[in-house]
Amino acid sequence: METKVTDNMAGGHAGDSREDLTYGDIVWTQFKRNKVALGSLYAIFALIGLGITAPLFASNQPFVWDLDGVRSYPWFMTLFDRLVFENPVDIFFNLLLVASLPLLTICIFRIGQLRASSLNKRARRRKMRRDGGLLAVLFVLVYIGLLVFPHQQTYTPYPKLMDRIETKGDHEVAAVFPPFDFGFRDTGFRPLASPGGKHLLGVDNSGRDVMVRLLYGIRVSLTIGVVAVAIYVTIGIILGASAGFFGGKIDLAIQRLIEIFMCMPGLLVIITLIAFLDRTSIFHIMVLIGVLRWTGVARLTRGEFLRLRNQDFVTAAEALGYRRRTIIFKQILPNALGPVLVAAAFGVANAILLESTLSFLGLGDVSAPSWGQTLKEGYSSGKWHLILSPGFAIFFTVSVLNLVGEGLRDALDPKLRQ
Amino acid sequence: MTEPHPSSEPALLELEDLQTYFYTDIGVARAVDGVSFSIQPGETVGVVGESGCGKSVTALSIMGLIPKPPGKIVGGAIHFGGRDLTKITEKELRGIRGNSISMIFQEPMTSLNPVYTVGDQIIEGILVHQDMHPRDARAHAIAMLKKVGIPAAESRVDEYPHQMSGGMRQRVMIAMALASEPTLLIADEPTTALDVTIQAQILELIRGLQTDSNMSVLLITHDLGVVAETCDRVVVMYAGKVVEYSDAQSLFANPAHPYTGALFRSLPDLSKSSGSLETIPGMVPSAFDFPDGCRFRMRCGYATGICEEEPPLVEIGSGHRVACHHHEKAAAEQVRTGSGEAS
Repeated sequence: METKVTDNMAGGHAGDSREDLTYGDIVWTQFKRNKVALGSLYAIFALIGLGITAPLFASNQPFVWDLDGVRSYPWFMTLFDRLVFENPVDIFFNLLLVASLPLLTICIFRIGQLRASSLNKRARRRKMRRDGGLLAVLFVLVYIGLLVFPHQQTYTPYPKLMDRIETKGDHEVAAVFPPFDFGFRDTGFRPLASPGGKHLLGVDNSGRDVMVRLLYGIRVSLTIGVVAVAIYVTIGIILGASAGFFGGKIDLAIQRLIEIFMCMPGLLVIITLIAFLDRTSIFHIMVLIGVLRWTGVARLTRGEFLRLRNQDFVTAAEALGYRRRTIIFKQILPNALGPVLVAAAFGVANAILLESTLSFLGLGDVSAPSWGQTLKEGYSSGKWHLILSPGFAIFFTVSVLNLVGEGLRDALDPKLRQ
Repeated sequence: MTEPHPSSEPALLELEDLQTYFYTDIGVARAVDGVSFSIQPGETVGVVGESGCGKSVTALSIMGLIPKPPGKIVGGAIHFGGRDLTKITEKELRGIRGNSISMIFQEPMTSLNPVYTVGDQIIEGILVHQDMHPRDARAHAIAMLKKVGIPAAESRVDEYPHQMSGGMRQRVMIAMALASEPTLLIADEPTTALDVTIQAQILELIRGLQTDSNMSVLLITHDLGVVAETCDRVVVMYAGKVVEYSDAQSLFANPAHPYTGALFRSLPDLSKSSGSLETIPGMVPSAFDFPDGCRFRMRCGYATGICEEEPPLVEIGSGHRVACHHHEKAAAEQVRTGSGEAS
């Protein structure tokens, strides 16, 4: 049966582009107004970009190696070699580096294709989201494959090899190196050399270049921040959502658990737990931060769920016979994510700071060039320039992340919306 | 209108002495306290009463959506499709909700999830109960939107709830509720939050869809005008109990319970221009301490000593039942001229 619809019902706004905004669009428009936050967001993107492209700037593996006319490409061939890059974090970023060009090409091609199609904006978005999801899944699968089946050949420090061959003089050798022909593990430079020449930020106590360590440190520090926060956001959302949704005894139990965890002095607990480990790796630190810091997110989520639990659309979803899981995760959770997102942005900054603290106290992962580790080495050397550069890197990143978090908070706040 | 013969053919839904209580810190609220009525296939039954008399709790009890705790169905039975809905598991209930019994709510502005397009919400509802390819579900969703009279359904299916007016959203709610072709639709004050012009359209829409599919409707409302327009039979509730239960015609012609009469007198009457509207003095007693005997006696002009005893629900005409000691006197004084007056 078709009913006649009068004008006041149809409302003249079908197809009105101003109305055709998703919630994300509105928040983004609002966020863009805050120039400082926008600039900070770009700074984060720039940092990530530097982290991804680090091997292009600094590596002891030449792009092209020519020995007596025989060419090889060690830089590319060792990108996933676990003898050159021991740390899974580096493998991840190297995979991003290798995949970025084909991924960008696919994305640009696909977006152009969709733009040209007759689909409307929303259908296009849906398709883009689906394709993006597929690519992400593919990426993760390849990454897991690289970790499970490690590629290991030999670790050759090419600059030294080249020196040796040239002094012997019995072979013809030519090579194209990145601008800085050393990695973050290469030692042997004059310890505590002042900034200058090839070592823009100087050399540390053990004869390692500080600038390259800071460059690769972007990878480590950002990963620690993001993974730790991802762990605790997951725990916090699950516990907070259960407490807020089910209420009663479950709520009571989870609230007590939150209080117990909040009572613990986080840093001291982490220090104590690390004391039990033979050798701290950055993954221990991520997990420890993750399992100790979830209380804030849990409380936020619980509050949001308490508010949303009694909204009509939740009752309507129940009346439609949805399962509980669907109601919690698909109906309520997307409405509760705003504050959690803000907390996550601040949380990444906090986690980076916490890792720096641990490293500075000598409880970090000595094999990973995290900024805290570099700071500690600089501090023990007593040279001011070795303290300033890692300190500034931490300060800059933490500030920028906090500014983004603040901008996001304001953008999500309907009271400040213009 | 169909003649009420509650026992002649099997009822689609039958409530039998339903009791839903809420156990709170300050006491037990007997929100629904012994409600019985039935709905035949294809019939529209109205449940009328003031705010707080247990209409919505009755509806939520049928859906199994009483928040537990503190709520609990402590007695009675809800027979639907050969099963007692108070006895079956949550899982079985989920198979019924949104599938053979659907519900629409009072507030169309908040009953739709703000983060999904209306199309996604209808599709999700279809996929919960029907084994269908998402593409077919989308086509079905568009067809449903057309059916409930939404213009340009192909493009509006991708709109978000905030882009729609209240009447449109209520249409979307109806489309969602009817997408899996339920045999019973529970409409909890579906027009209360809407403009008067839209109200009529929505009621007309529900009625049209009902005749198409032989669906039964349980219409909860406090608006007697709406009842007169749409219902075959009427249940008048007061303080958690049924006080009068009748076919619409005889109820409108001759309300036998003083409360029903008072409800009619508090309707605006355009034929009489004089004076202010009559109100019922006092309020519905709190569900925490309903008085013994007749629960309306504090506000009733007919009340005498006998009203301290519980009045039985007696049959005074074909299918017309009333729970009042003074129903003869009240019925004689409350005869109205013509049944369609309130509309």
